[in-house]
Amino acid sequence: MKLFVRAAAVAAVVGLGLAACSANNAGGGSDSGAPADGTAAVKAKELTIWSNSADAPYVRDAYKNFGQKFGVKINLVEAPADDLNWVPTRWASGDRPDILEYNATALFWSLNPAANMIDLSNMPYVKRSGDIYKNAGSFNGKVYAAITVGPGQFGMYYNRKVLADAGLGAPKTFADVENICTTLKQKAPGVSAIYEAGGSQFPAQIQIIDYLASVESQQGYSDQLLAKKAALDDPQGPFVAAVTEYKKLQTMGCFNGDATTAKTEASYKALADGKAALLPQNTSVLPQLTAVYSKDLAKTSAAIGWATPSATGATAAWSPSYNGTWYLPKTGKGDRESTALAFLQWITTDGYQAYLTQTQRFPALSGAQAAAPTGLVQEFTNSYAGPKALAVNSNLVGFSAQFPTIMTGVLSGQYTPLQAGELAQKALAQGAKAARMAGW
Amino acid sequence: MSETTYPAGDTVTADHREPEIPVPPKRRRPRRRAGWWPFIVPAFILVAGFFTVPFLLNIRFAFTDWSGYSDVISFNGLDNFRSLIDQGILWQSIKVTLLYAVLAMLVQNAFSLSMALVLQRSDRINGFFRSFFFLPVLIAPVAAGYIWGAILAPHGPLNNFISLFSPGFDYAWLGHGTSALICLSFIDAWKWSGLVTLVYIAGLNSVPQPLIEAATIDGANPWQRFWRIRFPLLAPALTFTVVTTMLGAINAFDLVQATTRGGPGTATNVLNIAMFNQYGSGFFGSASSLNLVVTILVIVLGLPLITYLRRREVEA
Repeated sequence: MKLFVRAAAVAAVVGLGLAACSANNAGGGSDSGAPADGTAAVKAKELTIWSNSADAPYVRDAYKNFGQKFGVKINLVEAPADDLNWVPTRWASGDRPDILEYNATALFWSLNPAANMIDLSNMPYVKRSGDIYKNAGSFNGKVYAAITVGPGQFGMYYNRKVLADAGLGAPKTFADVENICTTLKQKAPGVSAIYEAGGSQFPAQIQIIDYLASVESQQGYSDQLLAKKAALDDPQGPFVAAVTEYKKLQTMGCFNGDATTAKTEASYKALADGKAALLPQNTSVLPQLTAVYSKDLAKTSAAIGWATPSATGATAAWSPSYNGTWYLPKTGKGDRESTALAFLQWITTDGYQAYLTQTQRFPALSGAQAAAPTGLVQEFTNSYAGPKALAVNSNLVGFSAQFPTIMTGVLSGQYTPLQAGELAQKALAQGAKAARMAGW
Repeated sequence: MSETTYPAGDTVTADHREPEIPVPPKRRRPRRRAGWWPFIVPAFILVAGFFTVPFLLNIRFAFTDWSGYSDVISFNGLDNFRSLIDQGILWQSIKVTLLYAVLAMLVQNAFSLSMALVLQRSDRINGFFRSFFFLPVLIAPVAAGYIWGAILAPHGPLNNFISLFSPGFDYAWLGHGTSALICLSFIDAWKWSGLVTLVYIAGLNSVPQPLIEAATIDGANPWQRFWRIRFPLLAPALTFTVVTTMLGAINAFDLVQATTRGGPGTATNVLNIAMFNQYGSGFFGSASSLNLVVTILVIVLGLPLITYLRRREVEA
């Protein structure tokens, strides 16, 4: 019996000690020393990649082409596109892929990049990327992401025929959106002006991002928020105004009847079928939209248009796309880290032109020629060439993760716009404090 | 001639023992065998490794600023709880969890007891229905959530059926806070009622038949036989089902995540969903705080509930 008690005590102490140590390490892998300067070689025969279920075809083809060219077997693990918690929760458990496909917004800060990711600041592609890493994919001055295609944009897809039949044009402001709603109620009562997919949570934030694009462009709103020169809960501030406008549109009956439960999967068909006139979304969902038209971009573009309405004028809210944005976690496995670095080197140099042509997007890196854009892609290019601003939530750490939940609360009537502002400000404070940002 | 049975088991006639002095029975202490403890080690290691140690560590982390943003973990007192209260997460989640748990427990037990009374007799038809109602127990909670999410959609089968009587009916059952919570409780009840029904059937079958027959002869009607005899004697089964359904519902996660993800807003944001969201946002300290709240809630509710129900068993 004494022996048992002693053994139990020793086991408990050892267990507590081990668990405490592992918590402090937070699952961080060691750096294997593979050169992150563009000279890494393919050494492993296998790579594990955490991808996204809504990957564009060109992303999957990039993996396939690299695998075939270098004889590397690619194991894809898919994260559900609408589950923002999938990567962080797996990451927190200590699980690591060799390559992580993820957002280049403040969301990746919670993965503790300084401890867990390879510093890519000296990779040659960084110098060919302009100043994108000032706003995205970096933390505390170090680059951790490889952003390989031009940013995605938030805006609204619209059904050309529905608007044309009612004598309406693409919206440039939210006043235009209100007008579309009012007119359609009279001329096409069976059509919802806006398709809101609140059941998928993520889309519920897009109209606010759209609305605030011009404010961000004119005032640098998110920088003011991070510097505490503005607050999301200011009753007279832009955020509360944006949510108030959103609520007004809902109260006017501009949303689909099932706005609180509708899912994104159903939204593309609803727009294509003319059951909704406007679909707030991101340019990155173009593959899902074209899928409704048998993957025919020309056919899709003939039926669907792209608009970037904001508070005061057409302004694109851009955000780095998770499609073609990669991080390299430290795994401590030298051969695999080297091979993952070689993948980045290849996709940003020898493989880049073919890859870029297939993406049909404008390049994020200099030295390559984009394919001549057509149809909707041309519209994306045009809107990006016009007035634009970084999507307001991109670097609002803490807030960006809670934003969809807060907005579904507004949608369901649980929160007033001011309450939403208060919750948003508190979420920002929690995140900024955790990220140890100056002044928080 | 009366007989007395002594502890040792000898039976003697009373006439040969006078005067009779009651002898206190000698309790023989069970002999301890030296080799018992190896049998307990595997269970001990499992419980210690997967429950006790994580639980103790979690208490510590609940009062730290542990997050995914940094390697440094510092003690921060009650900051996590303050932050959760400030953000309207803590009290809202406790309220939602308690409402959900009580509703789920009531619906599950009321439905299951009714089903048990109907299906108590063992015959082929009842056997079929017992199996039929047990099927949802075998379905994964996530799958159940998706199935019911589709059934309750505004243009789903339920509303289509109601539309036969009330054309154009398209109420979003999961899109309004109150109805979403009630629906979740019913889905939980649907999921687990088959199992609880079996427990109640076992309880009903353990009620001595002569008691029922005697009550019938004495003129008790079916309701009186149920309420005055069978229900009190069901106390052990009731204790088990009430406690497991209630505490099980407090730990709800997968069903809610698959059906509403805690929405709309935070209307169905039970504690485990709130914890998952904090964890997913990289706020591990706050997630640990919520985990501690779940544990405290289970203890604070579970212990008095079990004590009360066990006392009731004795009285019954």
